[in-house]
Amino acid sequence: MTVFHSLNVPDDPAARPARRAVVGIDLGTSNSLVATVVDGKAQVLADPDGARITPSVVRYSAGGTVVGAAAQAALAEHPDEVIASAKRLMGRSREEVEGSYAFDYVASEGMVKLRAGGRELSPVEVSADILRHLVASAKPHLGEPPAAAVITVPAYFDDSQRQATKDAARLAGLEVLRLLNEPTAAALAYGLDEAPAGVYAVYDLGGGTFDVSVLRLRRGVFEVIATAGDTALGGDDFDRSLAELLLKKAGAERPAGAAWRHLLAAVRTVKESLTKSEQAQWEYNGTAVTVSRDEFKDAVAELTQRTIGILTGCVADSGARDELRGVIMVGGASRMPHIGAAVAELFDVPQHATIDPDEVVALGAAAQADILAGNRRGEDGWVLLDVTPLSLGIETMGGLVEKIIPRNSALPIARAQEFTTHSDGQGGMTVHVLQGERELARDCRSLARFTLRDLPPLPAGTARIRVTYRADADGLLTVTAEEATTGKQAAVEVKPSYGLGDEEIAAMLSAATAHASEDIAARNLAEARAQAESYQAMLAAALRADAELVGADQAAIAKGQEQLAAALQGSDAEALRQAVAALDHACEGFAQRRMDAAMRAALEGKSPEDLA
Amino acid sequence: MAARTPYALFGLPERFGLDEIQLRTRYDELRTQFHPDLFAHATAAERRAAEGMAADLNEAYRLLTDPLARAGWLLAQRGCDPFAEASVAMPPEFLERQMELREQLEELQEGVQAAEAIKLADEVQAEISSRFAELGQLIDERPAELDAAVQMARELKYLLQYESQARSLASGV
Repeated sequence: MTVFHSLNVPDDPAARPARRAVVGIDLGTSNSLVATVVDGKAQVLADPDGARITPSVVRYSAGGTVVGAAAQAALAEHPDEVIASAKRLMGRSREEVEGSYAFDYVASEGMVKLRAGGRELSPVEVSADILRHLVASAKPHLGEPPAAAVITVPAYFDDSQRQATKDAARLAGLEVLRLLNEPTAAALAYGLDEAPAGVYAVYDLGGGTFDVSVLRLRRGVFEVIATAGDTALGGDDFDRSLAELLLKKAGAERPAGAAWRHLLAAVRTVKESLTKSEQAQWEYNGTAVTVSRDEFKDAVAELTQRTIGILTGCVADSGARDELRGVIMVGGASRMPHIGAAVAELFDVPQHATIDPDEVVALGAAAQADILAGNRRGEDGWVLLDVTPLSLGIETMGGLVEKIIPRNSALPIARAQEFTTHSDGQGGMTVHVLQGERELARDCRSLARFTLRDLPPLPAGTARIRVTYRADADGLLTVTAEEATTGKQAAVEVKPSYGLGDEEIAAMLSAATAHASEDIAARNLAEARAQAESYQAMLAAALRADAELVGADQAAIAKGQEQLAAALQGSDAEALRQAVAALDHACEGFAQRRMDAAMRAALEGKSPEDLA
Repeated sequence: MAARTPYALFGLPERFGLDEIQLRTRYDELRTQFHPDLFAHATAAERRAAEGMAADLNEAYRLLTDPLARAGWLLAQRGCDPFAEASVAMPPEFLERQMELREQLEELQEGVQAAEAIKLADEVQAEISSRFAELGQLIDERPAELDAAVQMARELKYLLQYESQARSLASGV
């Protein structure tokens, strides 16, 4: 791959921190994996029992919290202590999921909560426990706990699902380098390995979610041009259809509760046999049943068709149908032969499945973590360019939605729109933030609602309320609003409707660290110290390179540097972090000027006469 | 650099007519060069600055590749934002054309015939293309005729809506 050496960051060895131990994590509905880069190559890390794949299942019992295969094994005997597939509930309210998924729900406001082993847990806490387990699995391989991670999410995850994933990492004490879309991670793993330049579609059928992304690959650039999906369609749905088919053939009724879950686990084995052979056997309560691949195919025809419809639509959206060079098959469920056949019927291009479809996402995430941690330089770098999966809009008069950021817009993005009041002297305006493609507000997902108060008394139609939507590289949204006519401003930051509050997370964190040992505190201090020292070095390098751009910020930066140096003399981790934040704040203007200067330099020699 | 206007960001002259291939090449170069991920060894303030630059580049590219938005921006620079006020009197000839198009769309809505909807959409598209060519002429070559350019931009906004409605009818949405 090619060189992308940024002009803005001089490759100053003094500013180059030591290699950081970072990982890529595929936090899946059914299974989770952790991977890292060793000697330039990504590899999946096994847990102490040698397992590379951890079932996303957690058991909460008097004996403690257990994650993975052991928790899954306890499912049949202790269903009331085990939570599986919590990812389906991330960032969701109880009303949204109750009808679709069988869990032991607890009455709760905001995000759904579950009961297990006598505890009440949010899916964020369950995900945090899975993350902690993966971190612990990675530790012996790395020689230290990973400092940070890239965590993958379905491309079609909305804002509250992404925020919930980030909160889970925060609870697990894991710094998130980036939330990376699963199909993008897979394309990255292939692109680095074998795929030549061109347009590729990624068909990603996971346990509980389905994604399609269309990417343009060229030297060192992975550019997503369109994405689509369904966060409530996955391999599990195929399992259910197969289970119903088998029960029908056995003349049996669908069992309830734990028995049904147990049956589904058995059916999964039948599904896997059908991938390898034309027929499979199954025995249920003494009745033997034979099922053929064709019968299975017919039973899931509608599900298959739904994925094919989404794939077709996404390729059409990309506007690059004629350039398509291949389809990358990702996710265990993409192994089903009739899926490959259905895709081939649609697109006469090679299908890529040489990298284990269960591992490919984690491998791509590990590679991206290596880049973001700055471990990889010069020769073999690359950049990822992704898009917003869903349109972001605002509710207007009559319950309609006005789109502010359309789907498939390149990230990061910031866009502002002006609105006005509709009655004389109107004192406030409510901003209702929505995500989705439908025209009516009630058909879209409500992300947040806030009111801008104390507007100046103005005649109808004269107030100018500027609403700005910003989506960052993680696809996370921030909305601010301000009234501009009178210069009086009010700005509001938005928290998702079904997210966890800051206090809630703080309470969970303090509960988790109440018994933290002294060595965790020591480690915390060591990390804060390392970050402070690396900040000093990075700033020193920037000051050496562009001293003339410091200007009026000279005094503030010098003061911040002194305070940081003083904090480094002490041993207070929190004081160190605050000193870094204060210094960073003082560097804001300097950083902006460096960026503008770099842009000027980049354009120089291109068309100087145009720049006049 | 002065302000980060869409044209200044790409080092292009403020003209309606632009070389789309050159713009695309420059966009690709700049957004890889200023990609926030490449600032792993820079201070948080610089990573934020890079993210801001990336967002500005994306937004500028979108504006420059959307001819109506581009015309609107150029005219607003000359003090006449064509889309600022909603209640503007349109000339009778255009009102007539609007009525004609609305009738045709209504007829199509009653009994949708994909082929006819496509035909109408193509017809409006051709009209849009020739008007954009004329608008480009007005903006770049005849700056004195500002009012005509503003009027043309407003009419184009309507025509684009009609085309999109016809396309939706054609695809049965």
